[in-house]
Amino acid sequence: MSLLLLIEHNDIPIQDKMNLSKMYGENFVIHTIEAVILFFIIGAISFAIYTLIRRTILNKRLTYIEERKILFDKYLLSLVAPEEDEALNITSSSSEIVDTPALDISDIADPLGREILLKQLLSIHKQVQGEEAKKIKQAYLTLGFKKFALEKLRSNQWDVIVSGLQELMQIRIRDAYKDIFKLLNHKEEAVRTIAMKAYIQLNIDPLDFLLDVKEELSEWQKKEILYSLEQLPLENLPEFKKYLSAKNNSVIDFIIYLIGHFNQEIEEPILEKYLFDTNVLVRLSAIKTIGILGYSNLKQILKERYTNEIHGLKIEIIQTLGLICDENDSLFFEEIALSDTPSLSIPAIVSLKKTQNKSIEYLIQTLVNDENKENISKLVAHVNALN
Amino acid sequence: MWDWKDYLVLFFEFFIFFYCMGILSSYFIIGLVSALEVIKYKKDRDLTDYTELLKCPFVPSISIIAPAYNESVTIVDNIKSLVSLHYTKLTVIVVNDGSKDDTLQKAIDAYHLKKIDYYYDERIKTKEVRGIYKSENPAYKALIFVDKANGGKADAINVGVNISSSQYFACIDVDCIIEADAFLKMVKPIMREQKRKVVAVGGIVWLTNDSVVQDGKLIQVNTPNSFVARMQVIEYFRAFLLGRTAWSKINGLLLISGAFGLFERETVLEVGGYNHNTVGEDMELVMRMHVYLREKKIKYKVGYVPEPLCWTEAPSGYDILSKQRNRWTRGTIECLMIHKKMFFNPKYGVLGLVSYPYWLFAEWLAPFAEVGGTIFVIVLAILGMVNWKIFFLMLALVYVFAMFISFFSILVQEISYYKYEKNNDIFKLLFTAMIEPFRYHPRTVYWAIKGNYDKFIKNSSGWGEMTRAGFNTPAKK
Repeated sequence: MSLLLLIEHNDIPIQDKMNLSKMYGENFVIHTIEAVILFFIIGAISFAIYTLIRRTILNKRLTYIEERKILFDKYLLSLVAPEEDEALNITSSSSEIVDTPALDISDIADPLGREILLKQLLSIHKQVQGEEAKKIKQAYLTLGFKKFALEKLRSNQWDVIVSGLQELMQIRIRDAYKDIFKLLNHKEEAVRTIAMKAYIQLNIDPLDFLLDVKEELSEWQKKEILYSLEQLPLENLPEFKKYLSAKNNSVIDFIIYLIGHFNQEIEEPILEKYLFDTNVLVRLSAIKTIGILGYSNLKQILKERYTNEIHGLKIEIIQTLGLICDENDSLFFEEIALSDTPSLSIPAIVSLKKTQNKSIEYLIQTLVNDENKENISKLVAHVNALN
Repeated sequence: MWDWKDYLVLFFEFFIFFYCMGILSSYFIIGLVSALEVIKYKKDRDLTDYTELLKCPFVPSISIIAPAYNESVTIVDNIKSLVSLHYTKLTVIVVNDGSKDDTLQKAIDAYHLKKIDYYYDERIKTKEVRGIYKSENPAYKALIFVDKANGGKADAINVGVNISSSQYFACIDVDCIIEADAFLKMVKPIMREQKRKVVAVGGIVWLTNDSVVQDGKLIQVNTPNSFVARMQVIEYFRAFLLGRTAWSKINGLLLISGAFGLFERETVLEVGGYNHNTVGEDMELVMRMHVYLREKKIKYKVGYVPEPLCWTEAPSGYDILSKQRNRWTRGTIECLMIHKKMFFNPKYGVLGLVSYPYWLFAEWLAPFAEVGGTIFVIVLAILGMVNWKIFFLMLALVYVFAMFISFFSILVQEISYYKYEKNNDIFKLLFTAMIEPFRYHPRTVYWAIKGNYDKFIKNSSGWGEMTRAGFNTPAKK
């Protein structure tokens, strides 16, 4: 008999069929299918109902949020630009809330109310500076948000931790850096990255953690770190070269980049040493930084490195030399411009144009001869069109 | 006593039953994994300030390559929307693929284009490039307009890849609407990856039919008025939201939509660019990249951003839709045949052991299993051998499962993106999902079977005529 009982066999005696049905077959299969159908029906109906109910709840919630926003905005703006006749009545019994107009404590007793107030507070804090920002920060502290933010750092949910970090970073709660330090090795990459960002903004030695970073820094992490550093006053920036003792190549490459980006001084022999590093990205950063800092004393070393370098770094060397060379170096560029490799010829022509500060006609006159006329003319015209 | 006929019937019964259960289970697992990933992505997105990328020196450079053919009516607006995208290291390369109308002249007049001498290395052989143009207006310095002899979409994109000097290129359809911050979001998976090279990133493409579009920007999303287009909305929810996200998680994504995808230029050049000889050139390129990188033992990832960043118009009538689905079927067949060495080949890892077999059995062969199963039941019914109780239960199971997955996809969309703000839209989508199995699904099976017939018997190739109404059709507000 068919196991699945989709097929009926008329040659099997009725009593056997009935016995089989009793023992095992048809009922079991039917009940199983019915159970699965029921599961999917309940699931589908639940999804549909939840979708529709959720909208209703969301709309109501949005209305509640808008009402609260208006109330909280009034409170927060009164902190920033207080006018006595608009001060709210003090209804809180808390003795801490004396300097600022208070809210009704019931408005912030529930988590949603607190979250709305926090969002408004952070939003206004982003828009103000100086004394107004300090007042907002004071309100943040007296309303007890710091405690909640530190609790968020201990959450099991990574997105909660990240939002706590962002809060502490924005409000500049400096003593939180010790709690943040523990998160630099969190298993979730998003937490590690924001923890780096927050640590930089809150710690006196913002990049000391880089000396212990084991993982390769991603471009995203570099972007976050750079962004954080750019928020610091220039006088608070550390001397980046002290982090060149890191063992991690991605850190060294990034530090060299930062030195160039922030135009910090570094001894030429140190940069020169990195032109010979085994790591391609370190060499790349060193080449670019030489150009940014204008270290023309290193141009001879760069020319010597050119021959032994990989194709991609050859292009970088040509571009860097275009920044630090002068008319006396034209022969170097001319040789490359006349080579059979357009991907090198083009940057060489660009650099030649920069260092010579001459017209395209002069370049054509210098480079073009009867043999290479067609090719070189094309390349020179290309450079002219794009530059 | 059973004879050979009984065993034959039993074999088909087992095959069809377990095949169907396998398909349904895989949809369930893929849907669940995708939903969790989408929710995780949304949390991450909400905590990210993408505007910080606008000043970031570490973002990869991107060229948008937009092939254009007979786009005279819309080319000026389309270019305008592309050059307005929020991204600093962006070049827009519009490739006029031998248009028979005045696409080129319209662009020249609108953007003050001037023909220039532009050198590029033709690493991929293409049809003749007749001219490269740049604007004399510095506001459009990111725009490069290329005029070439007609060679088809794949050829046009290959020209763009040759000409581009960016690290990545985005292949898009010129009449798609791209969200202003789309590329800021697309580069995050690239920048976040620490150990592997990200060679491609896909994104969700959703439908704009009857939505409100102003100045090339999507203002309000509405469900389409046409049932055909509305049905496709749900299909796209299932495919893009509940399907590709899970495949990307296991690095087994075989397809990035031709309407919107980001590719690493050097890898595409290494594999030889888009293939002219298939109508599934988008899928074929991704598969070829996978094969190349696996064979070279390079650590890589094909990423996916599960957010609607690109909007396009779906066919609103059965005529054009049937041609599109016919082409998709032929494209799938061609890609699977070109890369058949991947089939259950452990050398290709998850691609060979999971992705390729899935596409073979659950995408290509599924219509045959469905039609075969239907015929099987009809024959058994004629022979009086069907247990009707179980038959109808199984039919009900398949139907409620289809509803379950469709409703789930609508819910995930709702939780994640909440694009359809009107309650009426949701009711329409739920109702459409309920009648899809009866009114729409049989047609898709027929189109798939016909696609196979056209491929293997008629040996058809090519795209066929695709007409679109355009975004400026009257839309309800």
